[in-house]
Amino acid sequence: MAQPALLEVLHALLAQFWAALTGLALPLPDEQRHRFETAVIEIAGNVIRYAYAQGNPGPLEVVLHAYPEYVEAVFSDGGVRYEPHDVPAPAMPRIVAPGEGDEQTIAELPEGGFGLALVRRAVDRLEYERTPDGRNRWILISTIRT
Amino acid sequence: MQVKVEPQSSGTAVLRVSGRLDLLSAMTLRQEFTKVVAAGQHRLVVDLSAVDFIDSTGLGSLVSGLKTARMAGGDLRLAGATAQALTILQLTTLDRVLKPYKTTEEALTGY
Repeated sequence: MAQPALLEVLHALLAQFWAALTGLALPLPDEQRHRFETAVIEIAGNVIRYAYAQGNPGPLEVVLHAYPEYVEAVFSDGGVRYEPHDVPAPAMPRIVAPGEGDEQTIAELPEGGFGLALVRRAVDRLEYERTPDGRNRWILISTIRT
Repeated sequence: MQVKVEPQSSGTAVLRVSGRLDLLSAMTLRQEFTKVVAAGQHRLVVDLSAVDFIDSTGLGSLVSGLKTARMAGGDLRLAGATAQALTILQLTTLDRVLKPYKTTEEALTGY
C-alpha cells in the first residue's frame, strides 16, 4: 500500500474504532484517544520509514482490540528487523527554563528521532519482537482508568 | 496538508496550515518556513486551528521553523492548536518553547 493511503486508512480505522467503542458504551476520554492515535501513527510511520525503507514498501497489518481494561494495537510487518543499536537512542527534547541559555538550547533541539520516546510517553506499554517467522511485531497498550 | 501564507505588516507573517502535519507533509512546511524567512518575515504565527493531526515529524518541522525564525532574529508562535496538537506538544515538552496561543489575534498582539 502506498504511504499516503496507508496513513489515510489508519486514521479512518481509528475513527471507526472510537465510534464502535462509543457504541458499546466504552467511550475513552479525548486525551487518551489522542495519545493512542498519536502512538499508532508513530509506529506506522516507523514501519514505513525504517522497516520498509529504500523504496521497498510492503504490507502492514494493524489489529485494534478493546477490552474492559485496555485498548491495544498490534502491528505486523515483513520489513527489516528493528535494531535499536542502529538508530540513535530515542531522546526527547531537553528543554531548560527560558533565560537559561535559551537560544543555544533551541538551536540544539532535535527536529526528529523522538518518535519512539513519544510513543512510550503516550501509552502505558510498548513492546517489540521479531517473530520466529521473521516478521516485526509491535504492540501498544493503553490502560482504561475508570 | 495545505499552507496559506498571509504577510502582515513589518516582518510578520501568519501561516495558516490545514490538514495533517505528518511525515508526508512536514518537508513542505519546513521549506515554506525557509522561504518566508528568506523573504524578510521572521516573526511567524502558525495557525493550527485547521490541522487535524500532528505527528513527531510534523512537530519537527515546527521546531525547524522556530530555529529558522530565531536565527533571523525573529520568533515562531503557535495559535489555535487543537486538542491532539496540545497533547503531542505537552508529551514532548515542546510546548515550553513553542508556546501555544489561543488565537492568531492573541499571538499577533504585541509581536
